[in-house]
This record gives sequence, structure tokens and C-alpha cells, in this order.
Amino acid sequence: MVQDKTIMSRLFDAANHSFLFLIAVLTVLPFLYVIVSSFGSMDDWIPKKFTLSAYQYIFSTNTFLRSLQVSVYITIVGTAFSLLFTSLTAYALSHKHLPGRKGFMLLVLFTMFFSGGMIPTYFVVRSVGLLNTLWSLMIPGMISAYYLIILKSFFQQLPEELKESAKIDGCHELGILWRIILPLSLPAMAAFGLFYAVGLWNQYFSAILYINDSTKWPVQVLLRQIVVLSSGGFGDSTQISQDSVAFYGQSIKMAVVVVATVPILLVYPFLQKHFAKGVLLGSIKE
Amino acid sequence: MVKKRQNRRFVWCLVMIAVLAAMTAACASRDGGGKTVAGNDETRQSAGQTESEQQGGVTKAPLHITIAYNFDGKEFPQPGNEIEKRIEQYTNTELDIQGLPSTVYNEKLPVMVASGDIPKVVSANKTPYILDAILDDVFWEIGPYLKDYPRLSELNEIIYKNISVDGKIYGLPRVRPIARGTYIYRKDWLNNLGLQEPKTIDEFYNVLRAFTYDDPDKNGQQDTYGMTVRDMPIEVRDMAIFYGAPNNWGIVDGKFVKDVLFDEYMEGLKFMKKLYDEGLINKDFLAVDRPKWEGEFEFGKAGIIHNTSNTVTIFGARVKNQKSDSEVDFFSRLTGPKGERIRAEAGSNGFLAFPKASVKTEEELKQILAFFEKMNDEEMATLFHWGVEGVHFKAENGKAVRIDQGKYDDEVAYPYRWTLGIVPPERHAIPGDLTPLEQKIEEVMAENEQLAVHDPTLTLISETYNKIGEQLNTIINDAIAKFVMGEIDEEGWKKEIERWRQEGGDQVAKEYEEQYANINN
Amino acid sequence: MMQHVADEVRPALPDSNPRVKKSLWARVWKERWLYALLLPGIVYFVIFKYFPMWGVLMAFQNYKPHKGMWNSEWVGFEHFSRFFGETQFWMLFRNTLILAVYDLVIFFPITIILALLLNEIRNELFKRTVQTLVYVPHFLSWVVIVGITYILLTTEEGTINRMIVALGGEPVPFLFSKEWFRPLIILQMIWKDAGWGTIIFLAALAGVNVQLYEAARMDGANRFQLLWHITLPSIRSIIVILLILRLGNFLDLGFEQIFLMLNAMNREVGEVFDTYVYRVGLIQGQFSYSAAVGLFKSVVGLILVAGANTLAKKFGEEGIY
Repeated sequence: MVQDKTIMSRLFDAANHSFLFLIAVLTVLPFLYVIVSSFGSMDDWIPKKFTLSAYQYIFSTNTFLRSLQVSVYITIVGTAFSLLFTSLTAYALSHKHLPGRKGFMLLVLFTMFFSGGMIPTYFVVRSVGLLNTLWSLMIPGMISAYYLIILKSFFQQLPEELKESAKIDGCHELGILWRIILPLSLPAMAAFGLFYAVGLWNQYFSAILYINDSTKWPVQVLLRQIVVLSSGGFGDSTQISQDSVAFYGQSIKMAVVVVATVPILLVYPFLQKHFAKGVLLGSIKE
Repeated sequence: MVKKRQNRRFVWCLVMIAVLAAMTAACASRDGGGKTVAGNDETRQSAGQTESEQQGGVTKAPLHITIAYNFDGKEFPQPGNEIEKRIEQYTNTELDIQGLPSTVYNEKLPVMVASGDIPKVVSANKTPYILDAILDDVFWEIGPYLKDYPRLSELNEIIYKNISVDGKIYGLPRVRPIARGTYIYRKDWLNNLGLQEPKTIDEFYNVLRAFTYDDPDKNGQQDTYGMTVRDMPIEVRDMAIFYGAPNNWGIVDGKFVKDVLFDEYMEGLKFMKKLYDEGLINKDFLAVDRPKWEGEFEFGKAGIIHNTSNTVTIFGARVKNQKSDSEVDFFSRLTGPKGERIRAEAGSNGFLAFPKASVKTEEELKQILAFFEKMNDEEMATLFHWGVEGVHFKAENGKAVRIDQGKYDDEVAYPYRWTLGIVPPERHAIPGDLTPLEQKIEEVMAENEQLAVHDPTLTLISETYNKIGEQLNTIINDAIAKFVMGEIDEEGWKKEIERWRQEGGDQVAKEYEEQYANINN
Repeated sequence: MMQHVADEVRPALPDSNPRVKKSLWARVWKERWLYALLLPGIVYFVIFKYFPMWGVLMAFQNYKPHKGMWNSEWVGFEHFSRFFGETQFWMLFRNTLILAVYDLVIFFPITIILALLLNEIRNELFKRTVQTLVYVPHFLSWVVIVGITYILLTTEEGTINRMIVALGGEPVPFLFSKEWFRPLIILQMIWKDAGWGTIIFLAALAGVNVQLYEAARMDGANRFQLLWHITLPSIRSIIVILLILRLGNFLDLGFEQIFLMLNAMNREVGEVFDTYVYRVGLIQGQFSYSAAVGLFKSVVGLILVAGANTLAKKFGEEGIY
């Protein structure tokens, strides 16, 4: 691409770069604080000593490793299912001439506003036989109406000519979806894949609600017990009686935050290449 | 031609989707089928499934008990751990325990109640929906059966009274000392300043001043203060009681009057305000979270922390960890114009209830009660109070000495002793050598029982309080904070209390009065 | 085009209104593939969203968990009248509304601007690094973030206040002041989620037809004109959709965040519907009351979305339905 070499443009670039650099620093600083304090105790902002004991403690229990396995499993499988069914449905709904489309959209939209709540959903999950299984963490939240609607928009934005020419070449709907639409929607798919993955990775309450077998609990359950609990959480009104809460060193809590966060953080850089420009290049002949 | 191919493709496509759906359903209907990432072969029954439970009078087969309670320790021990095994062996039971953090537990309990997927033993508090459930016969009334269980019955009557609903007992209380508030202080600081443990309110004030301005840690800097505060309403309430106010509600000529309306309460409130104004407590008490609050005392910034009696030794250890030549001590009561008083609590931290949905017969209820009774035998009481011999304690001449406090806390105390213990196990465990501090705690707790001031509303129910209690409490608690911080003056305080009365306070008082009159005719 | 011809040459069905019936069924059959793709999703929604929907009726009862839906007494609009008659109602409404508007007017545009700025970076490495760093705070829980806020802003020992005192000023009680509460909430929100919010826009920006840029360049456009005339219009649809959806959750604010920041001194400006419901409803096990308030918020959201959707369509945009 030809670069714009005017003075305004260069000034803008300089300002932009500096600004974004500042932003990056500001956002990452507190996380650095968390990481540093996981390696030792802190007095305000200054670390006191360096030790791996917090991490040793966390990894020494095999419950932790097992729950990590569970989390990885449900994140990968759950995201796959979610992406699959969300894109199938979004694609179908992106066709303006589909009979009853408006009705289906309203059906979906409605669920964003009205929800039965915890107890009725529990009954449904129970009657479908998902209680105490890992599926209960992946299926009830499988399709997000919110992401569905946005993805549908993305699909609609793709040029009609592509689909037309594919049809002419004898392709049927599924083929169009697989061979043309999806590859062109990689940025959106990457984004939603990330969103779903993060949601699944952070699952906490559903696990406790639907799964009684503690060996099937994902990692967040264990970790929240440590962090939220000893920070006083919400439950410190006199109504909810907690006996003296177990005491955790600050470094262990910070280590927990790091361990709970870093794995999912690492997913994004791998997805970034899909956010590169020029995906549509060359696909349409003017 | 094209159509035929298209149709075939269509059917093929439908078939694939159907197969996919079927696979999903099939996998789902097998309990965790094939997806045993956990690798745990134990097919532990989920709570509430009573089909495989053994019934029958003469139980040679173990009694299967499912239990759920709030657990606030670090990590719940794995099923099959040593403690659980010993309990099961001794009592001939099979235990299936779910321990969840309090906040989550309190959200899951209503779901359990609503769905009927509820264990045979659940911990509960007198939250409004539990009270409703109790009044609707959801839980067994165990009062009439208690006489068959001598150890369970030997508890202080007041404790049972406080958990009773409508005069009837619906659960086993998890006993705690009745008045367990303690002011834990740095004894080394006191010694450095040549002061004595305070016995009166004025002496307390003097100690706080000294801790703030007289360099108690002898480091040449004024970097300390008196007491670290987090829950101002509790601090005020306790000081008010020292001054002579009632506990929460007072009864005057059969009328129920809220403590805030008493002059003595205003004394307590003003006292705390004085502490705030003079810099003797942390100015940020309103924005302090638990770790910070505890840290102030642990790291030697504050000299006093007000907490429950079981934390005395814990704080002692923590402070010693930071400064090896430090020492802690405590006092519990202060003498005020109306004598020596101390706030009484319920004497229990929740109770264990038995839902009729899962405990189906009277026979089974009796077996479960027998289990709890048996837990008071010496062997089990020792397990709860001391742990496993050789691991948590060692026995010397028939007396126990703790080896590893931390291990005991994690493996025994938090998961089992505090959650399942009914009768305090120390009553029936083998005796042990106590440190002077532990000895003092026991003595003071016993003394407190005699001097405790009780909250008369613990045994009463107010509809209005059930409905809007939280809102009412917030009015008062906010007013307390604002007054202490100087945001409102006495006039402003009176206005807030008036508002409390209008918005429901008076109504609540009336309801308590009526109930009280009915019971005490 | 053979299949089109083939479709039209279909024998007329001997029914009363052949034309109408034929075209409906014909249309459905024509799109049978799409329906097949649609089926699993619809089934999912029906089972997991519509089957439990009876729970909404809890708002009209005095629901008691042990009684269940069928045996709990019906009280009609009692909870709603209690809610609207609440002395605090207008305070809650005002607080919720103001924060919601701030969120829409400040937070939403910031994410777009940030995405656009990121898009202008040409150095791939710098761009990727900033992108990754800027969304890290999203993963920290509010407990951690509020904890850090406290460390920075407490009156006596907060880092910021110590700097202010060192410079000769008076410490500012950030955490206890009514004036600072809302700005702090918005700042926290921006810090935590602005980066995260750019992701969807970046995805949209990645799909902009590069050839449009080249063509415009050859016509002599500078980068600002490119931004204004090509980039923005290309993501306009996404912006509109997200805006409409945002209105759907208009009255939903981050409960956890606000709850942790609330205290006696700022409650007047800080207490919103969600925190109120938590204290009054959930702690006391008042399921029906919480359900009623939730229903109220949902209805408001629905009305806003319907309005916004119609408005969007008037401007020639694709709405949600």
C-alpha cells in the first residue's frame, strides 16, 4: 500500500503511537503488579522477596491439575459446539428471503430479555439428563442470542455476488457456507470463538449448581474459593455467618489469579492473524 | 438430474445433523459417559438419590448419609480421606459430603429446596425462605426425639431456644461460644508502655491513645494507631452494650425498643466517633476489605483488633510470623456505668436440618440423629478436637499436644469440626495441655456466658423484618458510618432514626411485641 | 439457470387456493437446506430458553422454593407496586439511568475510537502487542480491580493521595465522595473492558474490502478521508446493531463492580436497581421480588430495542428483525 506521507499524517501517526503505548502501559501495569506479587509478598508496590512457594502450593494438589484438565476440555469442546451451531443458525437467518425469518429473529431476540432464571433452568437441565455431567456446562449456554445476532449481521454484509456465483457453479447451501462464507468470516469467527472460550473458561456457578461430583469441577471453582473467599467476597453481612475464614497469603491469591487467567490470555495472540486486513482481496472481480 | 442429486444431498445433510444431535444426546444421558477426564472410578451417588440406600432396623449395612454445608476453608478434602474414613468406620456410615463456599451455598440451597434434589443433612440459617419452609413442614421437627440422645440434649437450653421456630426445634445447632467477641491486642506494646490490660471503658480509651501517640513499638516513629476497624456497626453495638444499652432490642414495659433509641447507645456511638476524630482508628474503615483489616494488625500498624475468640491464637501466630518477639493477649469485657456486660450471640453458627424430601422415614431420622450422638464418643470427639494421632497431635501421658496446627485446621477443623460439630468436641475428647492463652480463652468464655446480654428477638419472627429487614438495617448502618465520619450531626442522626421508624422500624417493633406477649402469657 | 425453470414448471395442485399454498410450501421447500441448518439452533432455544420461561411468572407470585410454582400464592402486581412505591425508587432510577447513559455515551464511542486508532497502526508487531495488552484487564475479576482501586485511592495511604500530599495538597476522599463515584465507575469500566470491546470492531474492520482503499487512493484521497469515507461506513452496520443490542441491556449495570464500590457515603448516587435487588431480594430469599424487578428492566430494554430497531430501519439500516 502506498503510504500517506503528508505532515498531518505523520503527526497523527506519532500521536497515535504514543497514545496507544501509554494505554498499553496503563492497562498492563496492574496485571504486572499481580504477577510480581505472586512471587513474593509486597509492601505497597515494592516486592520483598522472591519465592515460588505460591505456585508450588497450587500445583501440589492433584485436585488442581485435574480441574485444569476439566477446564481445558470444556473450553475446547464447548467452543467448538458453540461456534458450529451459532454459525449454522446465523447463516440460515442471514437470508432475507427465508420465509418466517422475522418470526425466528423475534424468537431469538425475545430470549435476550426474558429468562426463567436459575430454578426453572435447573429443572430443564435435570429433565434432559445433563445433571452431574460436563455437558451441563456446555449445552445450556451453547448459543448466545447476542453473538448470534451480531454474527448474522456479519454474514449479511458479505457481498451477494459471491453467493450467486457459487450457486451458478452448482454449489448447494452447505457448500456455500463451508467453502465461501466461513473462510471470509474468519475474523468474526475468531472473535466469537474467543468470546465463547472465555465464557466457558470462566464458568463457576453453573458447575456448582449442576455438578455434585467435585472431581468434575472446573478450575475456577477451586480458584474462586481462594480469591473471592478471603477477600470477604459478598458474604460478609451479618446474615451469612462465616466462621473465621481460612487465611491465604497475598502471594497465593495473586498466583491464583495468574494461573486462572494466563491460559486463556494466550489464546488471543494465536487468533490475531485472523484480524489482519485484506481477507477479501481478490475474491471479487470488479 | 440436478434435482435428484440435490435431494439426496439434502437427505444426507439432514441425516448428518440428526446423527450429530443424537450423539450429543447419547453422550449427555450417560452420566459423564466416556468423558471421565477426572479418571475417578468412584461412582459416588449424587445428593438426594436415595434408591440405593440401605434401610432396616438392625443396620449391619452402613447408613448412607448425604450432606451439604457451607465450607469456608481452603480446599475441601478429597472423598476417601483419612478423617472421613475414620468417621465412617466408627459410625458404620457412608458419607457423601458437598462443601461449598458460603456465598455459593446460599444460592444453591433454594434450588435444592425447590427441586427436591436435596441431601439428607443440610446446614441452614434463619433466612426468610428457610423459615417459610420450616413453617410449611419441609424439615423434620427433631425436638421430641432429642430426649433419646443424652449428649445432644446436654447443650445449653438457650442455644436450642435461639434456633427454635415457633417454639419448636428443627435442627441441630453448630455450637459456638455464646459471647465470643474478643479484643485482641499486642501485649508487647502494652509492656513497652508500662500499661495494664484495660478493664474499664476509660482505660480502653487510654490504651488506644497510647498505642497511637506514644510509640508503642519503640521505633522512634509515630506510625501506629489504636484499633483497626472494619465493621463499624458491630463496634458501636458492642461499645453501646458496655455503656449499658440492650443487645439489638430492649424490652421496656412489654414494649420493644430498638437499641439505637437508648441514650446509652448514643454514648457508644459518640465514643467511636471520638476515636475516629482523634485518629485512634483507621479513617478508611468504610472501604477496608477483610485482608487489609486483618493485615493492619498482623503487620503491626494497629495494636488492637476486635474478632471472635477462635482467632486469638491464629492472630498470635500470624503476628509472630512478622515479628518474632511479639506477643498477643486479649480481653473480652469492659466495665461501664452499668457494670460488666457483653453481647451474647446465638450460641451457634447455623444449624443442620433434615429435609423430609430426602429423609423419608422417622426410622431414618433416628438413625441420623444417632450418628450425631455417636460423634460425641471419646474417639470421635478426639478426632474432631485434636485430629489424627501422630499426624496432628501426639499423646503424652494420656494428654494431647498439638503437633501441626495448620494441618489440623485444613484437614479437620474447617471441613469437619466447625461444620459438623454439634456438641463442642473438647467436652468429650481426651484432655490436652493448653497454653496459658488457650486456658484464658476457655475461662473467659465461661465467664462471658454468665454476664452475656441476650437479644430477645432471636426467638421471634417479624413478617416485616423478613420482608424489608435489609433495607432497614442499611438505614441504620449508613447513619452510623456517616455520624462517625462527621457527615451528619446528632440532628441528622435523629432524622435517620426517625426515617427508620417510619419505613418499618415501628411496625417491626409491634410485631415482636405481639409475638412476645403471646408466648409469655 | 436450469433449476429456476425447473422450479416454475410445477404442476398446479388441485387445492382451493392453489397460488397461495403453492408459493408458501414451494418457498419453504426451496429453502429446505436453510431450514435444516436452522433446526438445531431453534431446538436449542426452545428447550433451554423457552421451556424454563415459566419462571418469569414468579414475579406475579409469592414464590416459595419448597412450594414450587403451582402451589405458591398468586399476588398479581403486588411486587411491582411495592417496587414503584419504594421511597428509593426514583433515586435508584436516576442512578441507574445516569450510569447507563454514561456507559452508552462515553464507553461505547471510546471502544470504536480505540479500534479505529489501532487499525491505523501499520507496524504489525506494535499493533498486535498493544491489542493483546489492552484487553488483559478484562480477565481480572472485579474483586481484584476494586482491590487495586482501593490501594490507589484510600484517603490515608492511597498512592494517589500520597502523591497529592507530597505536592502540597489535601488528600481527596475519592472512595467516599458522591462526586467521584460515577467518574470512578466509568473509568474502571473503560480500563477493564474498552480493550475487550474493540475486538468485535477489529473483526469488522478486518473484513473491509481492501480494494476500496486502493481505488480511493488512486483518486488522491488522504488517510483521513479514507477513514471517514470508507472505514467508517463499512462498519456502520455493525455499530448500529451493537448499539441496538446495547440498548437491550440498558438498565443492566455491572452489579459486582458497583456493589464492591458502594458504601454509606456514596450510596445515594451509587445504589442502582441491581444492587438494591441483591440486598433486598436475594439476601432475604425474596425470589419473587427480584423476579419482578428483573422483569421491569427487561420490559424497558425490550421497548428500547423495538424503538431503536424501527428508527434504524427508517435510516435505511438493517435492523435486528
